[in-house]
Amino acid sequence: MLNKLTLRNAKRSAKDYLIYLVTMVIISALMFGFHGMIFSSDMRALYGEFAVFAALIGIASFFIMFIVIWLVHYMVNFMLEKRSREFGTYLLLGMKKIQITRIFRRENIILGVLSMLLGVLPGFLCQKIFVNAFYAILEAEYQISAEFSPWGVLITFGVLVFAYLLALVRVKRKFKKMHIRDFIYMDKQNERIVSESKMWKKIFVFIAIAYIIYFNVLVFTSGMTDHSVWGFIGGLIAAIYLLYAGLSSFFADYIKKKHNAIYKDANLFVFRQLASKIRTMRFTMGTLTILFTAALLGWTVVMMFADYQKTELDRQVPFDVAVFSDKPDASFEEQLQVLHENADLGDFHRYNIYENSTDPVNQFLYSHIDGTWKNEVFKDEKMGSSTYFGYDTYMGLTDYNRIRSMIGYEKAALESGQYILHGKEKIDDQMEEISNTISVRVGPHTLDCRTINMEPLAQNRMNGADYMIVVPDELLPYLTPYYSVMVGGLEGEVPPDLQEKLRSTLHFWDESIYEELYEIEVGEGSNQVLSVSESVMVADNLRVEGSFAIVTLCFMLAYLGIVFLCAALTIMTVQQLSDASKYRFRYEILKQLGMSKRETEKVVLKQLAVYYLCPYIVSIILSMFIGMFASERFVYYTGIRASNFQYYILALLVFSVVYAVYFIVSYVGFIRNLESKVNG
Amino acid sequence: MERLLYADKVEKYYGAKGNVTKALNRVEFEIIKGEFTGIMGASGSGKSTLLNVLSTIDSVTAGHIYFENTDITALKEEQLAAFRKEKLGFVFQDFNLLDTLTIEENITLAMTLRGSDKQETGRRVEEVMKQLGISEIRSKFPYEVSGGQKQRCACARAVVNNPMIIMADEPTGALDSKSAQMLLDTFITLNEEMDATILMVTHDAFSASYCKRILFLKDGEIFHELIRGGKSRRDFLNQILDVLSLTGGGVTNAE
Repeated sequence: MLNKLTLRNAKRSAKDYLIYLVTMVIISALMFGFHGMIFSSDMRALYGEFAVFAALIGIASFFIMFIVIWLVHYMVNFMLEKRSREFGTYLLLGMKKIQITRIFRRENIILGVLSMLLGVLPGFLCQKIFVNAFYAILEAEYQISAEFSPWGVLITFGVLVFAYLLALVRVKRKFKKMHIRDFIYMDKQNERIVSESKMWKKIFVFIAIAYIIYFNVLVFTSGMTDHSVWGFIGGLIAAIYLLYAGLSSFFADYIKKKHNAIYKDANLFVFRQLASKIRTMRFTMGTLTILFTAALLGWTVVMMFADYQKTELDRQVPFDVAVFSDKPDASFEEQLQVLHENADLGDFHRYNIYENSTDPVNQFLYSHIDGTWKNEVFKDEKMGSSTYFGYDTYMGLTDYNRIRSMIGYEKAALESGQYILHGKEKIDDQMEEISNTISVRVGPHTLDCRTINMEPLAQNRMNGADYMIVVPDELLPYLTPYYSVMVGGLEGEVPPDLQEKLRSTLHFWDESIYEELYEIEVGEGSNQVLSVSESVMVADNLRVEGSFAIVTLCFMLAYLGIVFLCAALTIMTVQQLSDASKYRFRYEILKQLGMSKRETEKVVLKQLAVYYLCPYIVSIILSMFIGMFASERFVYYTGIRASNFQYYILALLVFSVVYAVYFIVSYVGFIRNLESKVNG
Repeated sequence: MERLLYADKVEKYYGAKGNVTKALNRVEFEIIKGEFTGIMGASGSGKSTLLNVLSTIDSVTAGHIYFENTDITALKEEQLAAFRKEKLGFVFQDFNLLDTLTIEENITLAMTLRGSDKQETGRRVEEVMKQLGISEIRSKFPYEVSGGQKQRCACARAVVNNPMIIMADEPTGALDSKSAQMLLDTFITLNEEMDATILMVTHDAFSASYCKRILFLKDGEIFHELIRGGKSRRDFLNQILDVLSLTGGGVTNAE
């Protein structure tokens, strides 16, 4: 009999909290999809260093586990409160608390298992779609296979079951502490209207807004140090909670002051509803806002990386193959042998980069570019790398034109007494200044800048770091060969392990200190976040490696963002839907007061819109500035060409669509809940 | 004597084929402007159903209900809402106040829904609260005041728009005897001094004795009618109790 009751209850809960069930199905489907990918042989076949993917997805799942625990815990407590009277009745009928605990737990486990089972098939589809997307982005051929990994399913089950058990562990304690009376009056307790009587609390709103503005100003003026930033973020979180703590008083005060707006239609009702809802929900609302902000920021990052993947990676590796040597007289015999054995090497060129024993340009860049660093590793007269080389870097015009022609650029011309400054687009302002203020002297000659070129030219140590000064060949005797570079073109298929094979011929890596050491002070350039600074660069291999890492990161952040968003929106929606049934009488009274169906629907729409807009707008304001700042920094550090806004707007769009779906579900459900009684 | 309401052979059935309950069976009566009418009957006699169809909250199965000369059974949903808003005032057993609004706001809302402007609303709400003696508790929430105060607030809300008729469904049902008496005195004031027409459903003979005329309902039909005329309230109460002894009603708030 108890089993029958449990089943019936679970069935009813599934119906009452359909949106929760659907969200859990979505979450478990996503988990199945991603975990399935970890064990998919298709994915392993795609890329050798697969561990990165597994690790990142693992980290994401770890966080998602906490979100699931939170969501389930919230829902379990919510249902417990809603159904406390029913549990009180069971107690009156003579059931033991332990029996009721068991029934309630089992119901929730049934719901959990149901959502997991319902998630398996969509999860399998997700996996296939994701793998397909991976292949498509990496431009590899993919044959859809029906491969199904039981391990992925098992791990997902494990994580979800663990989350459910943790969320349910406190139910028993909660039941134990309660008496029949508590059960019967628990829902009543919740119904008591708490109106904010302390009007001074509205000052919180102004304090919170002032802090948020202050925070954003600090962000824009880079006024935070690496240490203080955590304190400021802590303050921001506190400000969000403070905002909601004051908002209820703010509304109540607005009504008390009898502004004209409250005398229009049912505005009085709407405002009061909101004031009381925010008062009881302030902590949850604050948490939701933080989650939304996090989701939105996560999405902004995804968009940034996706765009980088699309446009910038190619620019980082313009040559099919490039090899660096810290010796001025390198012959590259060993590397050439590897290339001839493993690939079809076409045209290639070996040349020197020169120095003049001076570093005014490097010094200028060190003091004008953010985020540069100076090498601090020395061992046996060798040293680690810095942002820039130890001396300014020069190149002869013939070598310059030779490598330009290899990648299809037009030849450049120089007259005596002139130089070309070739650098990255991201430092164009600084190059302009260098050409105007720093005099380039080679031997007895002082040179004028003829032009500044900014095509991609592998300037993360190969052809200088960030820039290169190109001088006429006749001046080269005045300069000292600094280091050597070889660049070449590859024909046909490039083996996936060519990069590794070439790398193994170089001996910069020092096992004892886990650093690469060179005979000269090597410059890596000022690109950060995603920088390709290698002594060997095989374009095809690096492109796959980079794409793979970036796409993985994108998938992980998108995965986290979606789950964050769905979990938070589920809580908001469930709250509203249960309010619709619980406070149906309020709308019946409105009906008796003469409101038509359409007018009531308008009131509901207005009320829901403001309720949903609160965290929406606050999180947009919060994330807008931080997100725009992050985009701007990203553009700055990566040298990518895009408007700062673009990433943010795209992220916002995705966010808004998911948000709108839950809003519509909540509105339709609300109206339906109201009507079910009115008609019945 | 102007006729305000006329129920013309009203019928209301519940249930589906084969299992039909006749809640109202050819009920026919009229209400004159300024009357204080009571409807009495035991549980299940159909009195609440009658009030619901009269107040347009429920629809009739057959028959017509005329307010002045409008047949409200022919009105559409939107028109009915407008009708309720303009012409009717309600007082319910469980007060039906909005719990999120203060006493004053509950009364204000009824006016703003009709589109009254700020000045007029403020003035009128002030006036009604004063008449019903609830000015002191204006900024309290319903859960902070007594049942009697709540019910007077509900009355204030019902009369604030000067409705054509006030419909009261067991208004004393949730009140203690003292509050009930105060409320009934309020009804008398509304009826005699403000000339309000009141239709009150009750199963309590004491409450009913405040009315000028009583319709007795049994099994969905009107089976008796009492008119107070010049009788004292005590005599009228006895007369009501005599009728009730035939139908099985009772008295809960007798002095």
